[in-house]
Amino acid sequence: MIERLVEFVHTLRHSGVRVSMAESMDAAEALRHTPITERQIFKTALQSVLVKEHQDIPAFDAAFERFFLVQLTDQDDLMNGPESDENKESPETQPNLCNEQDDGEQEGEVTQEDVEQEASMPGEEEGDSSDEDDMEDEESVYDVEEMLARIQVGEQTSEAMTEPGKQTHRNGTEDIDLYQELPPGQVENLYDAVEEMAANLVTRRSLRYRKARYGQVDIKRTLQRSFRTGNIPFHIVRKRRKINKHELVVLCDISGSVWEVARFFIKLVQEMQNQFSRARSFLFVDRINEVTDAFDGRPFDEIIEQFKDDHSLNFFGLSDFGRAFYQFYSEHLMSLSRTTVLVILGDARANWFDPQEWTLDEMKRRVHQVIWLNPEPRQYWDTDDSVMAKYGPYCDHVLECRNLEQLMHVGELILES
Amino acid sequence: MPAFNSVQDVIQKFDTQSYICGADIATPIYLMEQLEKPLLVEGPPGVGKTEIAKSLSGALDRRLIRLQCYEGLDESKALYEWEYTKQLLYTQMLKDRIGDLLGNASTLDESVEALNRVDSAFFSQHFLLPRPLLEAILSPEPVVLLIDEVDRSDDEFESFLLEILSDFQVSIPELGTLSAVQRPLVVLTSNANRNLSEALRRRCLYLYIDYPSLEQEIQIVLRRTPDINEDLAQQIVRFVQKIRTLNVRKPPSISETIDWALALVVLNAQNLSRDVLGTTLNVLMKDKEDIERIMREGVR
Repeated sequence: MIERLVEFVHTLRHSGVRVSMAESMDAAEALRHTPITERQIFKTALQSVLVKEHQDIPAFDAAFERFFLVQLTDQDDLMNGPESDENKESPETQPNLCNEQDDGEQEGEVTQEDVEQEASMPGEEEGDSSDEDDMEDEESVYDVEEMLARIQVGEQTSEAMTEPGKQTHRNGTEDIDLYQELPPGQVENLYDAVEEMAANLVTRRSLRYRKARYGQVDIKRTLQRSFRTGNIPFHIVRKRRKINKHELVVLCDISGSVWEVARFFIKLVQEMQNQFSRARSFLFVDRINEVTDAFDGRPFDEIIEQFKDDHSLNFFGLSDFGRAFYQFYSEHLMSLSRTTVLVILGDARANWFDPQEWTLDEMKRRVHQVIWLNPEPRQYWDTDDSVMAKYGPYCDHVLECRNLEQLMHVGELILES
Repeated sequence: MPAFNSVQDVIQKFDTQSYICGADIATPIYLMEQLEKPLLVEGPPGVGKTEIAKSLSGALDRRLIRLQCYEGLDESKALYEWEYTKQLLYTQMLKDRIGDLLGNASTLDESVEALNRVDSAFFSQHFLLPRPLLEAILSPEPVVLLIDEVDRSDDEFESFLLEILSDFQVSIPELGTLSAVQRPLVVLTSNANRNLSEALRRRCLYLYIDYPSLEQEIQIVLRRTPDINEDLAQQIVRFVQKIRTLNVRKPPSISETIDWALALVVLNAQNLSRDVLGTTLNVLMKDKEDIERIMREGVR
């Protein structure tokens, strides 16, 4: 039974569900207490122990259906092993116990076929090493593989992100084709990496909150408190250092060339959202569109795909920074304030349109900080139609942002602004 | 002695608490008792996550201790606090006795020693103000501990919970480590406001509750509103489930369905006419624009 379980855990990991060793041991423990003859209960028992995230449930369902296809024989097999005496209460298991030795070997075959066909796991063999060793080995191999995969992904994207810069004459469709070569799996990986990064950033920030609890002694409140204890200041109250929560406003160019970076940046902003008093996102190509409310808990990718089809965004148009900024200036200027951090993501390639940099000047006067992120390599700035130098003076920071590392710095900067 | 004999037993005992559940919900509940692990419940608001803990306490006849999480919740509010005032009061009252105690001591050393022998009296459990977590751990009879909306607490508090959830013990500097007398059944709920840490998830069993199926919800409504006729209950649930498929801002929860059913029974409504909807829809829907939209477009 343990072997089958370990194999199932491998299958699960293979389909992207994270299962720790402790959890697979819990699963073994859980099965001792559940009547495995009832498929539904057996399944939910495994699920509640092995799957800890809502998103992973479909993957679990699929893996379960694949793995426990041959219902009856599986149950027989599961009855093997030291646990069998625990299950004597359920009457159906009794006859199986008699057969266990006959069936044992056959099931082994079924299992292997199953795994090879459906989950296609290379190099998986039931060796003679004990179960626990087996699990540990597998886990470490798995981790290394995962790390390698991550590193490769990182390299590839930075390459991919460099590409558009080299082509000075861009038109939307070509770029998108180029990007679509990024296999969906990798995009997922990148999203995961961004998510992790955001979690790290946020944790670091909450350290600041903890420090804030240990500020100077608040004499007034300490004295007030001491009345309760007969004027003896038993409890020293400290002032909380005030931490400003900024409002974040993001303007994102999403024309073909910048799209890849933009989606990861938006993801980052979404993940860090609760660190700001408010976070508003606007997307633009030649017109600007608020998308703050679009992120309503649906899968991130789905929303992103929806933007591509949104006609008001004119996804395949030419980006016109001047027009978009002017529109933002005339419609949303009043919503900017001293606590606002304005982040603009774009390559500043205005396609020879009027950049209208005075609008940015006006915006800068109203906000706390303006940060410009340019996904192009620095050496291509201000070549051809790039007008970075015109916008630059009105920004507090102008940063190159084309890989995850740079994105991370941006995240830090925004949180600390 | 285990509280539940089988998954079926869970379903039956929960049924006596008017909590209708299938094996999908009952299995993790049964396992949490067997494996002595906390249960993390996630799902959309109002599907009965908190209700699980309440029914659990009702079904097993165990006391429910509830800890509501919020931003800034810290140990002194969740675990324990020293009762300064009481300590001080005792000091005042015992002042006279101090003379007696130190009367025999001739040197300073001796009096310090004499005091030393009794000073632990002031940092004893007597002066400890137990907050929910400590209360659950110290309780002589088994209890159900509900840590509600754990996603609202800070990251630090979440990490602090880890010790309690895995070992059911806490360290208090003045007293040492206190271990659970009886392992409490712990239910954590989360609305996914924030992604909980992997470490916390690993220590728990996981249960995701979604909105119930049509039949199940009808069952629930019938059970919770005894005076309703089955026809109306069906209409109500169909209507509600239809609304959930529309893209409304705030989909109605089970508890709102029940409230609405109760309201309709009180108003003696026989079916869902437009008038009835117009006057009672605000019980079900809590968003002005949603209500207007439903009234305008209907649900067909």
